[in-house]
Amino acid sequence: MLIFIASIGYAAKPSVSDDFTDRRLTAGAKIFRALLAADVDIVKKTGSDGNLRVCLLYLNDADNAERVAETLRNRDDSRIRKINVITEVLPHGDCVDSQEKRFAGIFLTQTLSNEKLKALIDYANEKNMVVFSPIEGDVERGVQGGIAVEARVRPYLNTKALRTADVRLKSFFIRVSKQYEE
Amino acid sequence: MKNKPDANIRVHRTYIYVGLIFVLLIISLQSLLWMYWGKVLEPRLQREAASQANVLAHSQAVRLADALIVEDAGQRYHVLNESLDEILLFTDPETNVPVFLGCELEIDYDVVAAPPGSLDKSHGVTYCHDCFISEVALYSPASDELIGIARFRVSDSLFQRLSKDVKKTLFGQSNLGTLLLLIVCGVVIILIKEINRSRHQAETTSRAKSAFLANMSHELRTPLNSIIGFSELMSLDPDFSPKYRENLSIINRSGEYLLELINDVLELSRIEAAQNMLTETSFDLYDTLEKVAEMVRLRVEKKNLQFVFEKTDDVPRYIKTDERKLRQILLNLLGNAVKFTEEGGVSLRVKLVKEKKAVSNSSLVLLFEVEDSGPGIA
Repeated sequence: MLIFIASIGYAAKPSVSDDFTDRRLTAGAKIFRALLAADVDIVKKTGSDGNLRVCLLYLNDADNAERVAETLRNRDDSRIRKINVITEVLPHGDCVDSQEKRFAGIFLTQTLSNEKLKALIDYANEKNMVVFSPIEGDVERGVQGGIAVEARVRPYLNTKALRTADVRLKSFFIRVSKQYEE
Repeated sequence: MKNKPDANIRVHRTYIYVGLIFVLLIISLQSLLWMYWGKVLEPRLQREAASQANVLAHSQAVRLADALIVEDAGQRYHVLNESLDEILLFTDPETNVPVFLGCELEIDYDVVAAPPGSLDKSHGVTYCHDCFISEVALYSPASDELIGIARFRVSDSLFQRLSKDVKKTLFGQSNLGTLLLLIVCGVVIILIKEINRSRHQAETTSRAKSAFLANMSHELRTPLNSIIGFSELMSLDPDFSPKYRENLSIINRSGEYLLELINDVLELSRIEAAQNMLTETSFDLYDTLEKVAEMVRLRVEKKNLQFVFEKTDDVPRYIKTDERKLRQILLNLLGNAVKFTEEGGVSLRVKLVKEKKAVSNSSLVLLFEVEDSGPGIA
């Protein structure tokens, strides 16, 4: 009987956690679009076809990443600053090591290990890209942007990481954001 | 007679101390509550109210954003004004005070296609001393782009109301606490008064009893002295046969014993009546010690014990102290020693321990040792 109750508890816990993460991912999707729109140099980050490409990075849960991608795509106006956006759902390796594709931003849908996150941040800094993660604690780990959930959901910026990646944001956006200073 | 006013002063002092302690307790309670209110509760309520103001402001941001993305410039201006007017109309049903006192808009004209400054509107008050200011981002519902910032001035009526209610409850309960403390203080004072009254009554009764005993003992001694005196005289009369003289001797000894008992009772009653004072007189210590030794020797011989009396040469002959008490102490100690010793002996040793000479008054310490071969104290 005890084992049965314990197994129910074990099964129920990740479900609550997943719900919480899912909500953060959905709320983060909107803030991610606002962050890209606030990038002063966003026009320069279009690909050769004139489109903006964003990568939704996952480790093993492609379905969830696809769900977030749908949220990003299914907007009344899916463009950012009148530029068409192509949303790609890719595993870590493809998103980071891709030489031919140039992304304007990368959206993390799963928690990365410290090594993988460092590799991603180094790659983004080199390519002058925005890395965004709605996952709690990732901004403190060096990701440029995320979300701060308080009485309302606000953008959460790591100002040092933004400076390092040479990402410039509109002052309006910075004003409404919560800032993390290392 | 002197003790009574002192006791009254002590009792009154106790009342004052008890009263002061309770006054301090009440002051401490009130101070702690004010500190708790000022440092913890009020700031917490203020934070809660500010958070509430943010939520309220955020709830209105969507309709402003909706108005700002209207394509047609004329229509947009109209919808925006209408939305702002409606927002400023909302009132708190509890206080009937407007929730939003003012709203200012700052628009990003890179995103909103309108002449710069044309939509930077200010509705309602632009300054308020106590209200909460909440800056809310306006995101385009269609593209999620940040299109501007709305600065709401939210009335602090909710905070004022909450603050008033919490303060009223907190200090209402503290007044109850103060009242309880005052009641406890009153009860404590009444109890102290009762205890003092009982103590005073007990002391009076005890004093009366002691006085009675002292008087009784005194009255008994007079006839007893006659019995002892006359029995002694009669025992010296040669006309009495040895048998009668023996009987008279028994009467005499019994009288002496009874007198001793009465003296003890008298002494006890004096102690209880707080009249037991040292009566210092100059006397011949050698003579007193001899008398004591003589009295003990008789009892020792009866029990076939040995009695040793020693005193060193440096013991002074004449000293000044309470002779009666010294004799009493020595007789008690020696009496006990004899009483509980069945074989061996009892000894009394006296020696000088310390002498301090001064021009006006010299003092010394004498050591009186009583030793026996009895079982000792269990």
